Amino acid sequence: MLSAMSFQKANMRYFRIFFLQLQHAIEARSLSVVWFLTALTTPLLMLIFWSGATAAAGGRIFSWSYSNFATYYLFIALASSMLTAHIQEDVAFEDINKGNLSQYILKPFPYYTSKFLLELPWRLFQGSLAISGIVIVALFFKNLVSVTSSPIILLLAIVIAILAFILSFTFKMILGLLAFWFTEISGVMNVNEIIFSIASGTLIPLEFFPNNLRTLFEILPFSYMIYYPIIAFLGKLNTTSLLQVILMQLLWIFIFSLVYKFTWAKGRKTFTAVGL
Amino acid sequence: MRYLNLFITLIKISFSRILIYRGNFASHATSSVGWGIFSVISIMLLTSKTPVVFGWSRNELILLTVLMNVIFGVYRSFIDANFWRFSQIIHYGDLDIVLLKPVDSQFQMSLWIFDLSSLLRFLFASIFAVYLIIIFHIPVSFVSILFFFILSTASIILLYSITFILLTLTIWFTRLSNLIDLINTVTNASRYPKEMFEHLTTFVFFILLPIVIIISTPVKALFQKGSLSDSILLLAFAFVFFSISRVFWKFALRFYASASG
Amino acid sequence: MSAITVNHLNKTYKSYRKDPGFFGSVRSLVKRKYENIPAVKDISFTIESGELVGFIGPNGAGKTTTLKCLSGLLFPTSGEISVLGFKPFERKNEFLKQISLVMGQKNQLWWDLPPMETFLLNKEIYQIPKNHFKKTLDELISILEVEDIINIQVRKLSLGQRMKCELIAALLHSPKILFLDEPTIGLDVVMQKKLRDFVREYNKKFNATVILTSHYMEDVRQLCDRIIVIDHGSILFDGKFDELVKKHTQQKIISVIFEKEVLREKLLKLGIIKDFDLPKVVLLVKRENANSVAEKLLKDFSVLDMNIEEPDIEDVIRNVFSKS
Repeated sequence: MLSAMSFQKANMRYFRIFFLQLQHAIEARSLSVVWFLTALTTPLLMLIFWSGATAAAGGRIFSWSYSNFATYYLFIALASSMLTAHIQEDVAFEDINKGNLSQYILKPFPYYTSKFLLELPWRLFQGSLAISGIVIVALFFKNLVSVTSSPIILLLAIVIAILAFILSFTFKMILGLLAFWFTEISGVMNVNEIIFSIASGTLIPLEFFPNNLRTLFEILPFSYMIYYPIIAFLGKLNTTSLLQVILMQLLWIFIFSLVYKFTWAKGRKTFTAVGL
Repeated sequence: MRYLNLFITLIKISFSRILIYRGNFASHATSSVGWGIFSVISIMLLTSKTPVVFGWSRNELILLTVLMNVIFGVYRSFIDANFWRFSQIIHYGDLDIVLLKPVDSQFQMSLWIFDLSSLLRFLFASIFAVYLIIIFHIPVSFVSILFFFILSTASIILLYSITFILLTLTIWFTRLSNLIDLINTVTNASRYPKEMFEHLTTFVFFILLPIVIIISTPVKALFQKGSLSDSILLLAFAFVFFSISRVFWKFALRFYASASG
Repeated sequence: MSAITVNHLNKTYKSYRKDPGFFGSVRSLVKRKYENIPAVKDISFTIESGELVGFIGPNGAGKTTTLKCLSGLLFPTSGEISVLGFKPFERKNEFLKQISLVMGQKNQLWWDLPPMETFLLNKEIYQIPKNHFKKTLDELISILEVEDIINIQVRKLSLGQRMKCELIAALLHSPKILFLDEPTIGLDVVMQKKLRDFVREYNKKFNATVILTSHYMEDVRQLCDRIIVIDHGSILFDGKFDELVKKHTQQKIISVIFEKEVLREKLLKLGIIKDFDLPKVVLLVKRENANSVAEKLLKDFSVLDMNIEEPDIEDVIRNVFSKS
């Protein structure tokens, strides 16, 4: 009886944090809109580029037509705004460098959970903006958006999307935690942005790369954060491949969890030693 | 002149800050050069399957990107860092400190701090550009180089003015601390040739015009493929937008002085 | 000609109101309610050059708003202001070079550089001639005793050291008028005294007009010959400090800590009991009786500690307000 009540109480606390943060996200709606537009710009630019490039190459490049590109980049926009966490800057600059970490350590939640609950409402809010955008586009340009209609594949795709978010979030948390040891971390973050752009398919669909690079990207975790969720929804993979993707995601999540735990434990010692 | 002395003192201060934050400087220099290299790699990847796009050859597009880095290297060093400071000042309510000084407030918000680490990007990009011009056999002349410098200066002024006007909006919308990110991402469109945007709807193209001519025009002038109309347009835009930035800023300050408590 | 003239100054500003809670936020997505808030209502006063004037009032009284209007940061809704012959809100450079506004929590020193760098920058900003700069800098450094620290990074300095350097930065251009907004806020008692001593000395030595705002009675008592009491945007009193105290506070507060238990009735004939929480008791006594009551307490009771104070500024203001 007691444990059931305390379980419920814990849930209520989580719920309340989430709700407060959602309220905050709604209030800072203009901030969300700006982030959303920022995430939208680069894919849009790529779209414009490809429309000219495909025209110049006679309609198709590497068997991709313009509408293929359009769908791909629209989904990149959606994935960027919804699945990519931006938590690393918050962790590095606000929490570690400025010392806000103390208030998290004092709370009865694990740091990871607190940040996760804080990040989630922003993602949902932005994701809903992105989805409404895509729905509007789909209504006006029917041939531009081609999502799979098979329910099993759709379900697996949703699982992949959720795992992609967890993967991206954990990775970004680790990145942010590096601030425990490096005071000047923006260099690392910039390098990460560059590698991420290429290896996740944000810049160009991974199909366009030569085979050895493709294999490299299939091993690296980045493609599982953006590229595979997208092509899963586009119906380009069969059930077996989808399950393989999920397996790789789980593997990388497992690896990152270990790295996170290790980094957090070590970093926390450094943090309290300095007495920030 | 008085503002020149002030500018020199401020540059000296930026140097002092570099010496204090050596790690910071190295890190920024690395990422800015890194972004430069990335921009060249991505244009090479994008054009790997198409030798000619929008009337530009692959070599020309690569050179366009490198020259974009030259111009942006200067812009990021002297002007861009101030925009981060602009957002911070508005967000934390420190505009009063700016207004109390007997120095033009727009100058204080535009040319006060410098991020000299981007000069490395400018340097490497310039050297690489010269190299590419030679091996690609791009026909340049002394006159075309002169025009490149003149038009690049106009481009920097235009880019500055557009960003400044948009940031002035944060006096009304103080929460938009990330607006500068959006502006920087959108103005990245200037690294693509103007022709790429021509087949968009006229309305959209018209809106984007000030941005897309920023890099294309000086570069085309350098290649001796410049169009007089584009060049005049760039100079005119630079003048007009700069004037608007001054008027709008003064207007925003009046609002600030009337509305805030 | 007076240094500062203010005629019928009014300042009203808009503020929007949001209902609390989640549904308030959702509603504010669609519509926002605006309110007009009058910060300063029809105030007028004149200040001569060299005066040291204190604006005193509770938080939100309109002190900072008045100061901001005088320094050109705010545009008055109506009324006239003349400072050194200028209209402040025109923010002419010649005007700005002759004033200085120091706001308690705001700092102008470059955080990661030594204060000296900021001083040199200010020399360029205010176009201070070289020898004048050196002379003023040396004087200020010696008064504030900061010779050793001006070449240490600001972020490595203590709050007190930082504050002293902020003052120097604000005074290098020898402003004719110095505005101080809540200068002692957040400082410990020792620092507060040092600051007050400095302001007094600066006013005398450099013959600068000093206007300060505060909600600490001590600031005003120590420093200002003339005080202006503001509450809810209106001036309630403008004159010498002693007048105000005599006129509006007939009482003094005596706080006592007793060693042994004391009966309440015994204290009733000495004064009004404001607080009775043994061993501490707070009494309100008539001003003229304060000393005799104190004597009596010491003689008739066993007292551990005793303190005689002026009433709280809020009580004074309330008195002034209720009488006007």
